Amino acid sequence: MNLKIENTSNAIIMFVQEERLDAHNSDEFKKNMNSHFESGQKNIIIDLKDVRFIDSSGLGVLVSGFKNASTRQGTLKLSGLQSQVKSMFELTRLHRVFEIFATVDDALDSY
Amino acid sequence: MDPQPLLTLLLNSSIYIVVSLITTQSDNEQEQLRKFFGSTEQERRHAQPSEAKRLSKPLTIGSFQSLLTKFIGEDDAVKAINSYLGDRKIPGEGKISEFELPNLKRFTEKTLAASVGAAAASAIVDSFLSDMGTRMESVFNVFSSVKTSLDQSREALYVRLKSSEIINSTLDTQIIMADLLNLLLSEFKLDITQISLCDTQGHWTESSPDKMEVDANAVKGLNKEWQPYCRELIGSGLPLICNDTQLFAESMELPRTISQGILSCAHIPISRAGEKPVGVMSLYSKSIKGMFTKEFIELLSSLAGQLAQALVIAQEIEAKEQERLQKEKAILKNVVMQKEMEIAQQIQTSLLPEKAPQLPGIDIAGHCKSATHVGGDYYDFFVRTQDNLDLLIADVSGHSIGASLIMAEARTLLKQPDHAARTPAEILKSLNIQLYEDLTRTELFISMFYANYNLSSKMLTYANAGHNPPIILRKGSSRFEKLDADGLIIGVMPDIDFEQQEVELHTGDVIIFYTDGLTEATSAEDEQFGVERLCSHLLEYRALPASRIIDAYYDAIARHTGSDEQQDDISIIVIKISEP
Repeated sequence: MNLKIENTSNAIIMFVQEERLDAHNSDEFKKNMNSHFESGQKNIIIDLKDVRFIDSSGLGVLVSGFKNASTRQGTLKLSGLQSQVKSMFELTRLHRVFEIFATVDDALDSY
Repeated sequence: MDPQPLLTLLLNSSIYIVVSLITTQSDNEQEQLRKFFGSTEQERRHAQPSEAKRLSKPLTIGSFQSLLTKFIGEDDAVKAINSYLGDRKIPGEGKISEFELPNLKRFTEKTLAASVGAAAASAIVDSFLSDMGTRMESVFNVFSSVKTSLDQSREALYVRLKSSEIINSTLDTQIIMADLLNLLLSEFKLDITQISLCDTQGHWTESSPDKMEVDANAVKGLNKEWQPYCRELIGSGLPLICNDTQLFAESMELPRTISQGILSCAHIPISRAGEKPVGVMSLYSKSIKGMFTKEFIELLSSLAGQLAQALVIAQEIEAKEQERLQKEKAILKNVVMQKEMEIAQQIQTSLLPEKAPQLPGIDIAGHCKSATHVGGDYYDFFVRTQDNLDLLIADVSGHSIGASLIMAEARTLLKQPDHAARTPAEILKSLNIQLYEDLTRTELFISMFYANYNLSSKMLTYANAGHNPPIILRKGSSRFEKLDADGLIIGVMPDIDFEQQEVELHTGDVIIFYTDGLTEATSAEDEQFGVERLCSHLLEYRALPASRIIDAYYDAIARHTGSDEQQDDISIIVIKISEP
């Protein structure tokens, strides 16, 4: 899976450079995300501007990442949601659970 | 000069040499001959540079006997000639008739063949016959010195044969190495032999013969001393030959070698032609200096080469075996996974209601079409009282046995009778609290739409935990409404509140509850079925009985995706309000 990781002083940014975040790659994504938490990262921004489609597996790993961050007193924020992904979040009401930003910079500014 | 098995070389070249010596004899070539056979110091001393010139002699029995003597020794030659003659008596000086000659020739060839091989024997006898005189004699004297090296080469041949046997008898490299070392110990009267293999990480493993009568610690000590030089050997690929340990000890640290009485030793790299050595064969002698002659080293190197080949082959076989095992493991894993999916599906199917309740004033149907090896949808009906019906439709986020079991747990919790007293919002709240830990642990979540229908009041009360809102089509209208209430999917927060809504239903109203498998069913052109299509089809099907409406949807989806195979579970509940 195509993931670009960027380190900033406030948070690690994970750019998901895939069109889909679904059952096929959600496991891999989860492993990568968890490895950052385990190495001590507390704040992660996940940029989804390339993601056209997300299914329940994809949502599931974002939710577990969110919970993981909470238990470590950290944060998991999202940016660049396309329309289908956004409606998934609204349907499940997850848009009220996650902090969602239009762009990565907006997310970074929030710290 | 090509290092080839000595005997073959000997055979080929003896013919060649005989012929070439006959044709262009010179002292130079005699010298070459000696070098060619690589005779030892001892041999060089014994081989006379034959200057002796003899007068031609007539062909007599005696001359044949002399010929034989040169190769098999006097006693045997006499015996052989006597056995040939049998009862006949031809005096040693007696000329041989032309009559007799072919037989005697054949006999001599046969006798010689036992010692030098058929081809050489034939060549020798032929040349003996064709050219008598000084040249032949000097040739044969040189050939006599060949006898000593023939003894040597006979020994070499034996060792080669034995080692081939050893190497080909088993794939167990440990046995090969031990047997090979035993062979070297016994055949060459060595005192210590050892093979050290070096792996790619630079770790050494040692093998010793079992018939060695030396203390293991002593051998360890020797190894330590020579190891740095052996390491270099791995790099250079050249044998390290020490024919006088005392001499070497002047410039190298060899206290243990000297104290154990080692007089000469050699370390031969174990490698295939042109490849990096995989180890070292070490040989030590306490009996003589100068043991490791050029031919001996050649023989040992050739054995080492054979060993290298055997080791490489054993390695390759091992690697293939590993590959095969990995493949088997992967296949097995796949089979296990398939089985798990089957079980998940079976669990899921067992949770679903067998048939929809029959109640006055409401036509209900429900169905779940599972995708293969995918599970997660759940729907159910609970007739609480004859007036009260609960229905729900849900979707768990994963597709595994774990997901099915969570669903089973949810169903058990929902079936509890005390839920009859609770509202949909309260039920979802309670379910969320009860399932939160398990859902966190399994990293799953559940979306669920829960409704209660009162048949008398025709009130539908509902709450929604992040599920696709059902669509209602009112009688006589073509307008669609979504039945939505605010609520987060279950399993994200430990305790949350759910909004509750209620709506009055009328005769002729149709409601469809569904899971995302329906709206997300994708066509070959990558287009989703979608909510709009769902609504327009409802208009089309509204007059049909509930179960037929469901069938119609499945058909429509199959047409849309263009295949029978499903990407996800598709669950549908349809209720139609009618006159009681």
